[in-house]
Amino acid sequence: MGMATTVAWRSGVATDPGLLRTNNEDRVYVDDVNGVFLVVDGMGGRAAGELAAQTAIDVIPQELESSAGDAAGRVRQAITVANNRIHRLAQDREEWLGMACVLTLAVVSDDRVIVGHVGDSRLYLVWNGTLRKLTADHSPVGELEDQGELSEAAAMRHPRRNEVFRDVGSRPREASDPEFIQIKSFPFRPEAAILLCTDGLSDMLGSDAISAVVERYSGDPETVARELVAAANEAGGKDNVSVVFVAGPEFLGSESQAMLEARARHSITQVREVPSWWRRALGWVAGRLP
Amino acid sequence: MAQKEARPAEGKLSGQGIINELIRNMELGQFEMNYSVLLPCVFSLYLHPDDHARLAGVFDLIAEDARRALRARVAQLNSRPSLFGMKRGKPPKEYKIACRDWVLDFLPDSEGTVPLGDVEIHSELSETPQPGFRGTKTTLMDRDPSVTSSRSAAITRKSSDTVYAEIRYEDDSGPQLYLVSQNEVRVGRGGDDLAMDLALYTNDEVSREHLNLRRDPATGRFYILDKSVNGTWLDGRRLKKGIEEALPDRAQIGVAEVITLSFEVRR
Repeated sequence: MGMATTVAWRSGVATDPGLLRTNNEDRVYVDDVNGVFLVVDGMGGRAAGELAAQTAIDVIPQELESSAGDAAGRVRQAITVANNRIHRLAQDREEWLGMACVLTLAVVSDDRVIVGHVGDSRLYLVWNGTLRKLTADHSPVGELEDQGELSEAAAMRHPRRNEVFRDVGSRPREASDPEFIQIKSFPFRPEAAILLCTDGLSDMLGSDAISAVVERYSGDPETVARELVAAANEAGGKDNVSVVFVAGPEFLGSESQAMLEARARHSITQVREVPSWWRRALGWVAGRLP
Repeated sequence: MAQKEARPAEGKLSGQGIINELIRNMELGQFEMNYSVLLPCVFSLYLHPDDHARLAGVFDLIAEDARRALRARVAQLNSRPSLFGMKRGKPPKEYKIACRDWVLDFLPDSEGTVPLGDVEIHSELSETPQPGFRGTKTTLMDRDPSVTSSRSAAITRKSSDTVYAEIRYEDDSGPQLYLVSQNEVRVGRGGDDLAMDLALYTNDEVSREHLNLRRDPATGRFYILDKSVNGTWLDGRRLKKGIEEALPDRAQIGVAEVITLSFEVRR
């Protein structure tokens, strides 16, 4: 692919069936060398959902590598090929009919992140202590949440949150279809990090809870990914949950040990030990008590 | 009221109608146990989009009234001696809910199943959805996708408070929509120990804490305060640093000539 010259970022991955499911229809893919990061959430019956997700994982990296053009075009192309492959496969067996998946793909190329997104998995950008969701959920509940009609908490317990408007595989698609793939592109600053996850994470943990784990990052991205999955399971683990966390070379969590120590050193110069008058008065009273 | 006709006009949804339906739904959703009866406490009310738009401003008031009515109904259920229970000397079962208070969400029906003047209510016994409730993900096949690829992702609102204003802007992460549901909005790049409410993903021409917006809860009016190095512009005029000014209901706020925030009060 010839895009990444030096690998500057570090990535960590975790995926888990959750507490209530025996099979995992989620799939994740990480290629640090080529800067390809992908989370997929399969839909369909037991085996079909897994097959759809696995097909996306098999097809997309290969297509990214073999197709030409700019990164956004290759991202579109790769997801479309996966879509049509899944759709064709589904015709082979009755129990595979209608199988599909939702996915979020991030390709890092020339210090930019190019995102291809379909459905209700998510990509967050972390920078300067703030977590921002950069993908729109293609779902009735996600739309309401994005328009401010629903709060995050209400969206998380909404009865219709398992419905999506878009998927990869349930019907043939063309790469140019404007109602299919959401493309997003932004600079990957060295002190930023990105987080890709399936809805098993974002349905169980609010953005504050996700942020709290991410901001503890102290250099090991695997720990962040594992801790997020563990937190989702602790919160109920109602669905398969998958996380890909990619930290830029200068990213450091604002609540990491190193940062806390730096801040502690720094803040000593700011603390002025001048007791207020009532504190002095209290001290005076206390000194006189038997 | 002087009106004789108590029934609302055909096809017109009334607050009384909604609340009666809620009470009926609560009674239908009883979950009886040995010593107590659980009643649903989380209600999702689906309204026709037109009804939803018409009533959008008064949902909080309807919810407040409804909670009172539901509370009163539960008190009534608890005070009524259960005839058979009393005869055998058993105390009547206590009616109660599994949450602290009733949760009511008013939602526009997106699938065209709720006609004008009607309300469809889904209720749950507790705030935690039932295990396995999440079900399989489904695609709404017959529904035209209403999302375009250019739609921006909103910064998620954390509480269910009212949205006072919205701010649209485009920073290096793309087009964004920020919904103001609090009285103080700190805007800037932020820093490791300086979290902003509206954090801009941009270069360092924008200050870490660039400007503040403040809402006066008494009047609902907004004010703007520049705290930056490179300046803040209000509708093309540069603000004096450190001096608060009134913010019009619609305004273009220039942030260091790098980003423009389109501010608009929501009524």
